[in-house]
Amino acid sequence: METKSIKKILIANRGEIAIRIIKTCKELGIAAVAVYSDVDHYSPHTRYADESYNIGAAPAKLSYLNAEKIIEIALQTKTDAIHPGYGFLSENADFAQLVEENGLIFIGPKAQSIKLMGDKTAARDLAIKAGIPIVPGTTKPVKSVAEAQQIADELGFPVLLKAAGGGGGKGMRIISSPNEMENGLQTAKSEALSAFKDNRVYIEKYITNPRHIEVQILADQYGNVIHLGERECSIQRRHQKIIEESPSTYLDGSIREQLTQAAISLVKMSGYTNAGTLEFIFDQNKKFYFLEMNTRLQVEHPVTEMRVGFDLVAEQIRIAEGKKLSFTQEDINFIGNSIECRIYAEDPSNNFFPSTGKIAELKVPSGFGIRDDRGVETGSIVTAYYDPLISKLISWGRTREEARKRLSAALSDYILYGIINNIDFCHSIINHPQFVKGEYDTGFIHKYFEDIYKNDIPENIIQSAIIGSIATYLSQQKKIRINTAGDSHSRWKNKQVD
Amino acid sequence: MENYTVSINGKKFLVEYFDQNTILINGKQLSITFDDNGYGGFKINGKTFCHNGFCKFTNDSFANVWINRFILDVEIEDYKTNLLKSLKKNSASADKKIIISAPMPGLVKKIEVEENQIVKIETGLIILEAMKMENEIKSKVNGIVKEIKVKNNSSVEKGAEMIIIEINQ
Repeated sequence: METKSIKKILIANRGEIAIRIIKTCKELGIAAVAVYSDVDHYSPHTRYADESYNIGAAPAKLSYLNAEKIIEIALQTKTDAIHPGYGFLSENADFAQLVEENGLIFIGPKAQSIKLMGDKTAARDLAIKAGIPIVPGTTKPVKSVAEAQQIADELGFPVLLKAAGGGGGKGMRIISSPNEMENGLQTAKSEALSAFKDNRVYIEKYITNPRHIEVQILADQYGNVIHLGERECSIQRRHQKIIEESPSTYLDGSIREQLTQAAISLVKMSGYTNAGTLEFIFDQNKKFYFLEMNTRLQVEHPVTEMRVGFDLVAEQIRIAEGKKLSFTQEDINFIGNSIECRIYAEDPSNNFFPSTGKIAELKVPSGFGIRDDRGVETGSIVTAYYDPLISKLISWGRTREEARKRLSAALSDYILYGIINNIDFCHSIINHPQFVKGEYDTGFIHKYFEDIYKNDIPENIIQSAIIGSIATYLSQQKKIRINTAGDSHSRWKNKQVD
Repeated sequence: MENYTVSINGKKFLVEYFDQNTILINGKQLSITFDDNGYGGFKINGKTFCHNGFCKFTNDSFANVWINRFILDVEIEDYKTNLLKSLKKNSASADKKIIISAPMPGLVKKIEVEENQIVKIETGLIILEAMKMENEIKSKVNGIVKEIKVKNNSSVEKGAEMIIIEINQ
């Protein structure tokens, strides 16, 4: 098989993942081309890349989902390859196909693999053939409400409606009783259509409060497949992950072996190449079921990198160049534990509604065993157009407890002002006794929300808030002026930011 | 000296303000020294709890305060805001209406109610799409839909009035 060296990469994404990928390009001496929508004109990823180009208006379908425009820029800039990141076009087989047809390298699996594994129903079919258990349900999309009702009756309520065309919690609805079916199906379909340009929805038996554990794999074009261990992602809200960790506290050696071997056999059977993640759920009897495969780099990939000690994006590039994996399964050493918190612009007290606004100040923690991947800076404006993920804070420790305490201290140091966010909420989760013990499942947030949210605020913080707000209040009325040193950046002055 | 009632996350505190170095919270005197470094830090009775903070007023009396990982909801009342509040309360109780406004900018995907429809607490009113997720806005009161001010597939800005509900007692 021919190898081709990649000298220039266009990153068809934005935010933290665009910066993450550009970082690897810099390390490898590869030139990076960024693209951006109108509202992202001043976003850090545009300045961090070697070149950057506007690809259209703010709504994703007019910019980050505009395949033709992105390819046009790639060709104009004499780019060798396109990295899609996650979300947007990353799991769009037509895009991968179009990239190849234009003589460019798609950094990810082949279009037919995306089509096969990305089609959640086809992937379920394949798993059955590979002898891997799947969650009971359909392997075909449902055609009508009546058909959905009938399937749900057979499976027994509750059932889960899921988009066939993609993941990330979009187009997903739990249906607890027959009268919820019609509305639920309609919402799932319309969400799926706007997120994936594909309104097909299938049905699974809803396994109540499972544990969500996934396996990272790497596969080259020569049939070599290795796994990089598991990540547990059971701490979720609205079917989207908040906290991920590796290794999982739920697995022992023999189950881990069965799980990773199932993942490898499924990947080998499908002929998949590049990085990918197989998602499984575990029921309360530690029985696992294959859920779906994500045919791209995952948001939570740093948790794996922290333990295996190498850069997954660099490996993706190597594989895309047609090179062999430079290591075997035996070469992989898993060291210590890693935990990631996703910092979202959202309001945990208001049903996790996304929040928007200007970041008045951003200061991220650092130090040994701490990593922060972010796509914003002081002054950035968070809009409603894209995902509310602002940053990922990741810790590493020799033990789980060391990683957890390190992450907790780092969250306490995290300064993200001017925008409602979930930093304190994450801090409460990782300090909750059930999380400390590693005994949690996907029902965790729902079950312990009151505990997590009603985290007592220390008296000195309340006093400080009173003093700060009164000082601001009075300075707005020009009654007092604090920080007479003439500093115009004083915090407790009239400083409304919108 | 001026008196204020400050609510932090709904809990009320009586604040007596003497000057920028001396305040009493619920009768307890605190001596405060502000830092001059521009980060909004200060010492309370000589100890630093807040070396960096930020306050943003969303209107005359409501603010959010950020101190490290904490975000607090603050309401400040003085004699003036108290007066205004009591006036508002009187007029509000006269027509008993509440306005459902958009909690964030987004796209109205579906209006789930009609004018003159009776709604209960938790009745779905509007599905608003923002950040690619559909968010259902539910009624927090029992009442009747008096007016729908938005259309399907229209974009709304944060704070835009969407539905007016007349409250049933």
